[in-house]
Amino acid sequence: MKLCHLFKKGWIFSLLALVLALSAFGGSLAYLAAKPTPVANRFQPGSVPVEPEEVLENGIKKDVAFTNLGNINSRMRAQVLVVWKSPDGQISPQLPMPGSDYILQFNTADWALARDGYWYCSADVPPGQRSPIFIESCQKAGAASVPSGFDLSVQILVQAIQADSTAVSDAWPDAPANKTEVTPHA
Amino acid sequence: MHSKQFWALLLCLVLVAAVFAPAMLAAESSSAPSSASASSPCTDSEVSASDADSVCPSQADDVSSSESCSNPSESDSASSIPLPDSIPASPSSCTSACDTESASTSADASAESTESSCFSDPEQLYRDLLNAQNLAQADAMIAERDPQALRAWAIDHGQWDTLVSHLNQLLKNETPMNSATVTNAGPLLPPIYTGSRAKARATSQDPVRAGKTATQNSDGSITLRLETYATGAIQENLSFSPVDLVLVLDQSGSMTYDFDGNPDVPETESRQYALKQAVKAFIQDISAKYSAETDHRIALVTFDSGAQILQNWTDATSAGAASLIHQVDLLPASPYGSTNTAAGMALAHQLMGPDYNYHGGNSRRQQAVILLTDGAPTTDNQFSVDVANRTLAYGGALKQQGVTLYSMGIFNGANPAQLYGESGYNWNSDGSVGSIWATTQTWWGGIADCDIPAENRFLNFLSSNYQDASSLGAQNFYDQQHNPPAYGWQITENFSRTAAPGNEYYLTAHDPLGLARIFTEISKQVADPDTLLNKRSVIRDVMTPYFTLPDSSEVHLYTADSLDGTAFAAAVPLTDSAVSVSVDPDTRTVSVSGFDFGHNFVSEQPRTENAQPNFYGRELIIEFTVHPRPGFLGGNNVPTNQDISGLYLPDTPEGPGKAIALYPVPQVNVSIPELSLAAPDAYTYLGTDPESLRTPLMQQYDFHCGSQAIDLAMANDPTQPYGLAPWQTAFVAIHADAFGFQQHGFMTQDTAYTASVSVSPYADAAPESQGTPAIAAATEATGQVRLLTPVITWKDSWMDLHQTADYPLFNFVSLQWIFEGQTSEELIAGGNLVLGSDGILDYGYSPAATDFLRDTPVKVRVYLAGFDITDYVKFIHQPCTVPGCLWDTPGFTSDNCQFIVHIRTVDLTIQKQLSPGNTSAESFVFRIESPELDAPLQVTVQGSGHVVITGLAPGSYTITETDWSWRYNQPARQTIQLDSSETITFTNMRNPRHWLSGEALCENLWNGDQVHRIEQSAPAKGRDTP
Repeated sequence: MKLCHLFKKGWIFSLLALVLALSAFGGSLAYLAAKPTPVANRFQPGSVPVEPEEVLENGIKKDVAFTNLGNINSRMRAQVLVVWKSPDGQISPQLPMPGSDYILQFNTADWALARDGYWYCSADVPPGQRSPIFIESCQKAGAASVPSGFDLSVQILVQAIQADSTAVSDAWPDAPANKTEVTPHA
Repeated sequence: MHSKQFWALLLCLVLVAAVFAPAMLAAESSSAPSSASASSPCTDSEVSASDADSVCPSQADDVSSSESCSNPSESDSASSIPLPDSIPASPSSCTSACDTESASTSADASAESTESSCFSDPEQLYRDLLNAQNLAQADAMIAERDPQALRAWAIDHGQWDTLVSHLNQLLKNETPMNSATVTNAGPLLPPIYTGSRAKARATSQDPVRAGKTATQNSDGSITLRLETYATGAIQENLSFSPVDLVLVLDQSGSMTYDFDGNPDVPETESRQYALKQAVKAFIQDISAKYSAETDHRIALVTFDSGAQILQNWTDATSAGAASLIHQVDLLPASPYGSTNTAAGMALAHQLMGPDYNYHGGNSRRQQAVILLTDGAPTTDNQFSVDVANRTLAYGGALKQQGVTLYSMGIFNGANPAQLYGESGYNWNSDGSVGSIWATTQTWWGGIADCDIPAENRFLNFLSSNYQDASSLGAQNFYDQQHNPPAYGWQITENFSRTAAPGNEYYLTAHDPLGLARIFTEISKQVADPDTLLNKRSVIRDVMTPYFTLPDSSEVHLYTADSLDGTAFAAAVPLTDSAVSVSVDPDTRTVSVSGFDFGHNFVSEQPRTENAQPNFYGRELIIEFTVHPRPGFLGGNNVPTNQDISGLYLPDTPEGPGKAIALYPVPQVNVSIPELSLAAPDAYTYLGTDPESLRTPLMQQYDFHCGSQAIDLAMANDPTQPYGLAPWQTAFVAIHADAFGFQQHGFMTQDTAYTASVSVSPYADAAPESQGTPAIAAATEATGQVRLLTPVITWKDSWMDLHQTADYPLFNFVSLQWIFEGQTSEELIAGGNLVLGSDGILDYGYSPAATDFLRDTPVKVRVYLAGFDITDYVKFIHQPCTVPGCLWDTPGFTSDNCQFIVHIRTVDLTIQKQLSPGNTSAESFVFRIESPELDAPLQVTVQGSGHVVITGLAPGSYTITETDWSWRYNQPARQTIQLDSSETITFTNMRNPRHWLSGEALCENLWNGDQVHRIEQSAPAKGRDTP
């Protein structure tokens, strides 16, 4: 970005920079040609990969949270899709009904449902840290009316975005403002 | 009764004042009866009739000019005899002109007005009378007032008709005097025979002896034997004579009244109208009997204050009858005048005497006078002893010369059984000479209550009931010494009744019908044309329908000579070719004619006029043999002939000849033929109650009695019971039954049954019935009843998702009742007997019809009358054409279902297409909306993958990719009409967004109670666009 900036100062500076670069490049080639020893790369690109974590226990899915596998703070949002799905992946048009077919407990203290319909984590998640629990528990209701040939499918989709810029407001305009950084926990 | 018709007082007073006042005044000074007449007028129920006779003042003039006035005070032989000491005191209820206390008592209703008004005020009296509730009250009012002034006032003020109408209504409210209705007219007297044809003295009261016997032969045939002969009495008894009739008809004013004495009635309800109708019918009846030998004649006389010959002697031919009827038609609808019976009888006497004028050949004739009256004999308004005695004098003369005299009374109280007042009066008569019947009721003039017995005495003595009576035998009775004065009758002479009991010559009627009946009865006494019993007479044996008819050649004729008038010699074949036999199959009559019964009449003494010595006469014997008629089912006491079989006079142009003697009706016993029976096999429907099959099965029995088929289906046919003519079963009872069913109530299996029939005689054989008594016949047979069971065909249905199933509409195909592959219709067409009716089936379905989400097998249960008959039903599944139907696929079991409801759905495949080279596995979320969905459905697609939504109802769907994939532009939503499975593709490009991002997806599936994580996408990373 600095090069670009300089380039914009005028064509004289651009010409000088080109000369300097060519000179450096040529010098370097000459140096490398004379000394072939490898040099370590000292730059690492930013990333915000995210990974869901959960506990499955006795038919109950609980403590669903997301780990920031990246190297920068991230903001997270998630949504849950519940459908009846056949073993071969086909979806039933019949919708599972919350309460009667399944029971799902959100952590509404740390996650907020925005008007775009997505849940937003109220805190940025530092690299290597795990988000607050998104879903406290989810289970199939005992009296669920399961369509024949279908199982209850709960999909949790999560997205993360760099938190240290205007990325959040740009990409997710309905995201509520974040409050705090996630406190690392053991 | 004296107070019933007080208005008679008004009219009487007018008459008295206008006509008789001078006489009354003269008599008042010397005669007590005249004083009674003036001061104690009396009324009774019949006063209306006589009173009306004197309504017209001009008629009063006629009366005075044509007949002497018959006021008891001056013209009749009234006696003024003190009552004997034994006569009870007058009743306290009796009123008189001087008894003002009792009058005021009986007029309580108007007492105040009476007392507060001036007696001379006719208007006040008029108003009081209009308020009177009964005749007693009115009478009391009149007793204290001046009726003449009232009448004058009422006429002057136009209120007379109103007053009379009101008082007539009071009169009608009173109980009418009962009249006896006597119409049994006695025969014309004396008997006159055309004796010129009589040839022998009578030997018996029976003119003809007719006997018949029946004898049953060993082969079941019956031999009938008829024996007939005439006795010597026959010829005289069969002779009749022509009659000359004089009708003496009352034309007094009261003939306009009805039979209850009501004056204001329509013409058609009047006595006059009834008289005219009855007389015209009588004339026609007599005319119908007119012949050269019976040249009846009729003359008409009418009387009122005077009398006239309405039409002189007229032959009762058709033309003569028309002329007579025309004269009757000309009689006025409203005659007027008094009841001068003496004048009428004088003309009748004249017609039977000097004016008889018969010049025909039938000199031996009978004569009759018929006098009809509705009132007492009088020339004014009071019973006139003088008129009565003069009438009876003429009647006595007529009776002495052989004229039969009928009298008819049509007044209230007419009673032929009455000759004197035996009860109901202050003094009652015992009928002896010197005894009296009398009353103290106020006599207002006219006909008093106590005159009614005198009227009956008069008409009795006038008639041929008392052949020797020539006077009334009674006189008026007055006792002026008694307080109040008494009025009545005293018997002076009695006569003995000469008519035989039951033969009445004083006839009465109380209505038009009774009057017509009287004339009809009299007309019956007038003879039909005379006929002799000779060779033209016919023996008719009208056979009953139960036996065959003989051929005429099979009818054998014999004669047997009488040995002593009672016993007969052996029969010998009749050789007289003049005697013929005929058999009419239509009337089932065997006729024999040509035998001269008159010539061969049987006498108890030798027939001296016959040249043959010791000839007592001869009988005719008819003998023939018959058989029980084919088709006749037999029985006991079967008559061989109808009771009209007998010896008949020859037929005449006027009609069939009369029966002179009837044969007895011998009875025979006819055995019942052997029975045969075949019980039909029948089919019926599952669930039928066998008891309900009894009657229909019986109706199909192949049942014969002998050779005669018996249709039990027509057992109760009113005209052809058992499909037979009534005569065939007239003496037997037929009984049929079906029993022994092996199933009861609700049939579920085939069953056998037993059929039985019997034919029994209605009655045991009577001792006199000939032949072996018939006994009952019976037989049995066995039949089968087989069951038709339901065969129900179903088919699969194919409907859209959310469409509610309708099994009867979409899945039911047909219901047939089948027995061994044949439907009920086919069985019937094949001539089989199918009984009962298929029941209405109810169906139970499992599951119940609803809007199924997927293909659903349905189980059916069938009910009949509440019973589950599924196990007896055969189900058929129509081959299914729905693609992929599992019905016939291996492994599918249809044991528990009868059809499948197929749900027609479609699949929607959402295909995500990323830009070329983009191998991202990011999640894309799609929202599907449709009226077919309860709520929007969201599904995910990973990268350029796809997802299938299956089982969608056909319809319109809108698919939108959500903004979850924020790095990509949002493709337009797509709406698609899904009528079949389709794929919809969403393609979009990644936007150049600089932000670092990542995403992941995890999915859990609950299989049963267990949850599994089936997918976790690799963490995806976002990055700056280069």
